Amino acid sequence: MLIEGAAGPDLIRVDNLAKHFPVTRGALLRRVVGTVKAVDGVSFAIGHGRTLGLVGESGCGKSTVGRLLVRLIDPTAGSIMLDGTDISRLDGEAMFQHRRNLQFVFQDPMSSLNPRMTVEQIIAEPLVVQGAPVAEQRARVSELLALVGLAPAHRTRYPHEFSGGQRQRIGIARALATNPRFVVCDEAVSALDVSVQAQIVNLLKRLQRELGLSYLFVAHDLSVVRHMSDDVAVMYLGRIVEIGDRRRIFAAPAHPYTKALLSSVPAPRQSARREARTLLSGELPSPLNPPSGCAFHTRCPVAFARCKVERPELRSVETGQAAACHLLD
Amino acid sequence: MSAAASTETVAPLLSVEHLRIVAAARRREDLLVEDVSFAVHAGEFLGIVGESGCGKSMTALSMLGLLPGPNVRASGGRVLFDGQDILTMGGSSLRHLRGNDVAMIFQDPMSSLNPVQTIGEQIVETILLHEKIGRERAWARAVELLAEVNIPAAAQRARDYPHQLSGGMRQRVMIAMAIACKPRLLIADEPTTALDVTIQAQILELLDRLRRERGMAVILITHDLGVIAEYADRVLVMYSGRIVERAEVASLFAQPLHPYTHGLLGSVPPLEEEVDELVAIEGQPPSPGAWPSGCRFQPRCPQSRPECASWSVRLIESEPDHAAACILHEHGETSHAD
Amino acid sequence: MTNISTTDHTDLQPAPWLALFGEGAMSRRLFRSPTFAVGFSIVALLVLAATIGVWFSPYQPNSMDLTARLAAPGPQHWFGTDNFGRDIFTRVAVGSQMSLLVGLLVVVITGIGGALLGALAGYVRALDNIIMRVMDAFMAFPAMLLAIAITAALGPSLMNVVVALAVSYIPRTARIVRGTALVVREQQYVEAALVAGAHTRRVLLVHVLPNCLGSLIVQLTFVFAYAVLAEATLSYLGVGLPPPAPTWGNGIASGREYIVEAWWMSLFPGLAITFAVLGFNLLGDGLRDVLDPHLRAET
Repeated sequence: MLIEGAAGPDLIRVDNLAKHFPVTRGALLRRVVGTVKAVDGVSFAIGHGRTLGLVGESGCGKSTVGRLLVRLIDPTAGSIMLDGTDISRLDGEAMFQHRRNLQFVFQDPMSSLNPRMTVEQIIAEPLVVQGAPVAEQRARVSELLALVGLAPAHRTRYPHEFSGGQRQRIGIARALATNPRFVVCDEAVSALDVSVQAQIVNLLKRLQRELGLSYLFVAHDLSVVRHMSDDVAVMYLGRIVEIGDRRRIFAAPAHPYTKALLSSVPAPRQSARREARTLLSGELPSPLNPPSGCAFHTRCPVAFARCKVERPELRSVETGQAAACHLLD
Repeated sequence: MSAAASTETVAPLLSVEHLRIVAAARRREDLLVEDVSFAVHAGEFLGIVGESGCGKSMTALSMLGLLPGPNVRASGGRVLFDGQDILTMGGSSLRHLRGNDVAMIFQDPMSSLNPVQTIGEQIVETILLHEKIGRERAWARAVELLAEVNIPAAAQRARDYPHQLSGGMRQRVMIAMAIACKPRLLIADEPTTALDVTIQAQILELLDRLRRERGMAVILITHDLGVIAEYADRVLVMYSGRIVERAEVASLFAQPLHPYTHGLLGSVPPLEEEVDELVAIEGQPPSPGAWPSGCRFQPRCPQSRPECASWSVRLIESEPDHAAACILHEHGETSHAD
Repeated sequence: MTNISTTDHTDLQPAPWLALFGEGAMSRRLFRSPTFAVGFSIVALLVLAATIGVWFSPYQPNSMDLTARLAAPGPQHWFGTDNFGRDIFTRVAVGSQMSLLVGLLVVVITGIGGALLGALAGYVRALDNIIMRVMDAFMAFPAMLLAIAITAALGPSLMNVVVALAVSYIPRTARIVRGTALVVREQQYVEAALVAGAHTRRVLLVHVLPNCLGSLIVQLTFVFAYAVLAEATLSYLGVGLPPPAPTWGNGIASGREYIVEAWWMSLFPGLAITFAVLGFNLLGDGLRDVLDPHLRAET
């Protein structure tokens, strides 16, 4: 369903999305010396009220995908369908109309809130920008504070007076101000302490149930992604290497990278003394000069000759699971 | 592997006794660490787990005499390394200790490396500080060390500057520098927090291999219970400046005694099974200076009772090598004493 | 599910104006810095001298008394008199009004100009190169030379001195604000505003500028000190406020010919300048210690 796209109406459908950053040298006379393909041919769909988890190591392009979806940055190629409208090329007033439906929860609970604004001003900002009347703003802020578990007295306080978890609640309240249908959570819990992280995860899940939100949940923490997501996509060097139903991905990963990623996660379980784990050798190659063929072949424990020359396409493994690996032929 | 088995017979390498650390601000003193006692034996892998502000990093720094004084200082207790109290050591013996016996690596290797010197030169400097050998021999040693921490093409990489290396590689360089003088204790403060999981696994495997090969003790400070479960022999759980649970790793995960440990374990979504909702701990860790009386976890504790606020907190050993600082186990203590 | 913090935050409620700096208990932290406290005292003394100091004097700054020419400091004339028999204490006190007025006007114009240009250059990428290259061109001239050239061209008057000094300081101020704006534009709250659909003007006015205020205020206290010194220099060189305006610079200049027999003519205006510049510099250093996050040591 994720790949073929035959099934029901999706809220978000991304096709062949790409973002290439030029690499420049020189200050005055800038010249382009190369391109980083941060995102290269990514396709997926997210249904109403569902969550797609996007995982991968730093530099794999997962955060760039999130920023592309809310048009913080402009795509180089591809389309982003929001409820049937392609928003990937809209700008100005046309894009502004869609902004109320697209929101973003940021990673850093410190830098995502303007230190000079009160909680009320922060939460109301999307409403102010969208031109809501003042009375409506005030009422909405009260609703939102209650919704995310903050006290009414908090509205006149400043961000520095709050702990990381509370700040993240403020950021979530701001994201929900315009009643969006789709929210990108970019590492939204990874900067928090473990015990607080669980509160925010629970909050995000509850809000999804109550408000019917769809999430793109970008994170590097696989156990949190598994808990949050319906479907999971694994990215490596700008491409999706495996995508599918969460249960299948975690129970029977098809791509060697997914397998390695899963076995690298230390599990807080007594039985989890490390045994047969697939340790990946080497590091992420430079995205400026990615390997030929399958980008993973330099670290892949099962790579063979074909992997160096031919790039594998995503192909269906099972119903609701696809992976890009020559071994699946 | 099971150094803990011989706990009673061999004198520990490092023993911390009733350590107390305070931060002095104008007209007030905030407790950062209180009544922390534990021991580490040669070749042992000890984990210290806790959330930010629990005092785990301060405890680690005190083991090297590296507390960020004069505002933060140890105001009580002892930290004995080989029978000598680190807290009362002077400058020269501290330098000797840091060079030869105890080494430390941090979360952010970039800030510990000199950006204008090649990594090879930096390792050479470290070696020459403690050994009287020629520069060329020291360079050869540096290359060997880089190879030992699995840096490919070590002889070439030694000529690289820190910014030319990835985060994982930089952490390997830090480890190479740390083991350059064959320390008997390596303290690693969140060494993999900034790294990706696949790189984290490599670094932890490396630390564990070095521990086994060199008989070096490792203290790993982390917020990640998973890392503890896979690598540590014994574990200390810290909360608000105190040790709330001390256990062998197997028994901690089999049967956590302290409600906080329970809560921590419930906060991490399992990778193998489905849960609907995480058992989160309500509220957030109090900041130093705002710690409640009695048991400091009591305001967030699902099992708290009125007595908790006045309880004199202490670790209660309810079974061998497994102790928790919780009033719920007080009964076990008395019966144990009987 | 309601999450009330276990830590008590009530003591952290800042006064509304202090919230300008986004920190609690700012004034307490400021006065904890001895540098700031000393600087603040000096500046306060200066302001007092300028406002009520004149009342203590029975003399007019420009009334001449030829019977008391070049009188040494004494009970009649605290700081002595000059070659026209004018009371130097009165002239220094009135001179501080001039200096503070010039300083204040320069700071206001430099602040507005520097903040706008700097924030625009720092936030709007397309304008960065244009604005900053023009600023570079201005900065290629020594500030004092530029100021002399401008006053020489426009003619000596209070407003022209102010304009000349503001033009020489705006580039430096703009450069500092731009530096901060470059940091602020990368903050996630700016991205959050963009996601909501905020336009450039709103981002600049609501997010970028207020968060550049800290470094701007620090810079402006230094500009104040420079302006006081530069105004005196211009007067001394004869391109500032023309005599008989009782500026400090004029005081030193007219005392130059009498330096042997009436050292007090130059000494007291000179001391006033030293005092003022020292005061504002200390004030700026103290402010920077507290406001500049790079130097701030968190416990």
